[in-house]
Amino acid sequence: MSNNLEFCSSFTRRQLKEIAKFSVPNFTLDQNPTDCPPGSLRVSFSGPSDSLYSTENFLLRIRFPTTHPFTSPEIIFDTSTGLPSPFHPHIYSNGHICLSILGDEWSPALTIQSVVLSVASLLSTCAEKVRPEGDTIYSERVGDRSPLLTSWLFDDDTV
Amino acid sequence: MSEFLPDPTGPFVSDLFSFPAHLLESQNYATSSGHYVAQLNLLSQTYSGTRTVMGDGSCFYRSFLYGLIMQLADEGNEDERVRIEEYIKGSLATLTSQGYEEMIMEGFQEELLDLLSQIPPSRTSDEINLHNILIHPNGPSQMSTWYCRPLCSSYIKSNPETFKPVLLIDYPSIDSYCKSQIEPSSVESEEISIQAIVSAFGVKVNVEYLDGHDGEKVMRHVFGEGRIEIDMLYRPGHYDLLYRK
Repeated sequence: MSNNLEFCSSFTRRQLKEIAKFSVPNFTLDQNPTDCPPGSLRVSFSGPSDSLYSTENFLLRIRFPTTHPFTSPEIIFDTSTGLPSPFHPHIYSNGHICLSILGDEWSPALTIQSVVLSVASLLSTCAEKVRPEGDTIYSERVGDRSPLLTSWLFDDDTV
Repeated sequence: MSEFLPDPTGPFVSDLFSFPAHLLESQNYATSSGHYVAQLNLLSQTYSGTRTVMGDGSCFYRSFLYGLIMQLADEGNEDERVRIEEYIKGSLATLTSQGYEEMIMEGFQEELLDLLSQIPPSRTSDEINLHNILIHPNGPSQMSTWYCRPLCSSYIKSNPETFKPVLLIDYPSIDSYCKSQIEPSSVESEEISIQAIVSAFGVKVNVEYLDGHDGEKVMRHVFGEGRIEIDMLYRPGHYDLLYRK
């Protein structure tokens, strides 16, 4: 993706339909989070039961680049309110998530709901709470830059 | 992979250029060690024009849709236009029955139906206008081009006996093949998806393979059958449109 990344400041017709239809037990979608830029969504959820994260709560922040739905939404674990970025081999401490459908396997057929469920299932199948290799360097270097500007390499489909 | 790089920034489809002169000018075939110039000269016995297509991973689908829509505007193809329109109208119900989200797919289907509705009664009267609709970055073309991908998946899912023997060698299921190799907007089409899309639409695509291997012949692959025929040039990694003399 090029460096001139721009985000929608309001929702498209398609995004509004997806928001209206979003329905996952124990997941709450907030359409107007006051402390986020306009056009952002937040999804709060508890760690899946029977997972290593069952006692934790998480917050995702979602924004849509102007090229959506041809490119993936930006989706990160939002730590700005004090909730953690989960300790997971594919999730960085700055909240960035390494997941193929958010990179080169993104398809316009995928919805907010299907993407959120894929992120949650990363937690369900995790066997060890560790950070990815190089987390400190990556998170310091990238900080709060959009994960859409990172070139991800997807080499591990076991977790 | 390819030493001849397509333009990734557009336009979606270029103006009509003279073939092979335009390709010889814009690509460094002449200095390449392969037999490209000889192959282009062989093809010039059949073709005199080309439109180059944006190289963003959707060049096959884009060439296909452009070639199809332009020909549907030809006099004499009225019943083909009606047939394709009926097929697209019925496609949403099929996709929904195969597990695709109706609220997502209907947005794409509407754009393709909109595009079909803008085909003028005769191409000679309004070819430039139709071309401009097809290459407009914010027009119905972009959504319509992607919609060809789920249509392609849908055809494979409706005809598993044809595709399973090939697909299951490399992929765990038809569904995982469609999700990873057809539907992402940056994934190039390949022989299986080309076979599926031409069958789904009932049109014929001829692909001339400019591989540089042999200066005395060019391989032509013919996909599907139908009254409408679309001619394409394949240089490794990229498709462009060809026009006969």
